[in-house]
Amino acid sequence: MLVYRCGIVGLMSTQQILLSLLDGHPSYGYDLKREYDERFPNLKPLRFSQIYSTLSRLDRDGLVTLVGESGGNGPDRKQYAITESGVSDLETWLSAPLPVDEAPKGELFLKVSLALLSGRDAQPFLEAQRARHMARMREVTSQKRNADSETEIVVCDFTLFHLEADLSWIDHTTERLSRLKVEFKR
Amino acid sequence: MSISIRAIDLSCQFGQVHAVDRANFTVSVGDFVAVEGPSGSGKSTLLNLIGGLEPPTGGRVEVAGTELSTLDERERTTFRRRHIGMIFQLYDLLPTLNAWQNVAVPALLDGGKLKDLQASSTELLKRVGLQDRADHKPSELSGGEQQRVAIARALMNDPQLILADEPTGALDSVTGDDILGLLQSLCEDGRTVVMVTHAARAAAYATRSLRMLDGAVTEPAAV
Repeated sequence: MLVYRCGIVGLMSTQQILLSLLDGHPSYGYDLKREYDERFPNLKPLRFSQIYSTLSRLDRDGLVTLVGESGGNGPDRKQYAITESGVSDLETWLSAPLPVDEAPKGELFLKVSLALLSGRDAQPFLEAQRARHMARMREVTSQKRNADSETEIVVCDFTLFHLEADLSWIDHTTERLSRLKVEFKR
Repeated sequence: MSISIRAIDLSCQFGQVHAVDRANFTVSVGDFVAVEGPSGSGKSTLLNLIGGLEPPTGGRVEVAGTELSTLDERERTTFRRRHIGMIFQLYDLLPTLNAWQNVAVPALLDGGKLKDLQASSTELLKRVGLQDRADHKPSELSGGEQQRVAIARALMNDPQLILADEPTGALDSVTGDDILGLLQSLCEDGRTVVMVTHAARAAAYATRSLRMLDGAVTEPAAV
């Protein structure tokens, strides 16, 4: 179904992925990895070590809390739940548009997916991202208008055509949100 | 800044379809506004309501302080001809008239004589960079040149407001840039331009966007 890998899952994203998977029900590291692998086969795989170290950092920062330990040793015995601060951190991240020029395409997709996965509406994020893209397009269009050379114009055009492609994806995804929601129901 | 357009709960319904649904916005003199949204979202209907080509089924719209729906058909036509210039995707030039005669049409309809209008029409063609094509028929002009003639025609009666429906929709990207630059310069001269477009690169020439979705009009927050 999904044949390409989009982007790299960075440190920040790992935190938000785990928070969104924990949102609504407590879970173990092992189950979080399994759900991630099932939901996002096209993203870079998360290693167990990455998951456990992120969970322990989230615990230290008060964004998740340990709710139980089953018998035996090892990190996969610990069950975590999201805290109120964790939910608020997740919601802030989900609604914040990405910086336009640096936005890795995988992150646009990831934010939409995690919003839907956690039962939230992805539209506010898409609208905010659209507005940010459009603001950047206005800046570059104004630079283009004041350009001194044809070279400068085509350099601006390069940026404009790429931003326009992102915007087309944002609009297209907004149109498909209701169908996409069905796929992300847990 | 004085107000060019004020829409208050402006609505237009065709049967069960709310083409424009309780739109509220103002446009100031000198604004360049892009009306964006997917096909069928009501963009062209909104433009027709502003231009008095379509009567609202609810609410109202004022252009330069005049509520168009309070005028009778004849007054509305006169108002439109004097205060609003319109530009369309496919230029809508008269094929049997040459460029300067096409430019003169709004003044002809206002009672002017063709022979008195050649100088002012040619001057407007100069304004859009087409002084060398004044005697050419539309069939002898490129798409970009025809759109320039249409812009000159829209300026004939010196309207304060220009309404443009996908003005670059039929043009290649470089010619489209030239036309959009021209529209931008009209605003810098103190005119107001409202342009319907589905192209983000065209909308980026405008200073503001109104977004339409299923008849609802919103203005995205500044970021």
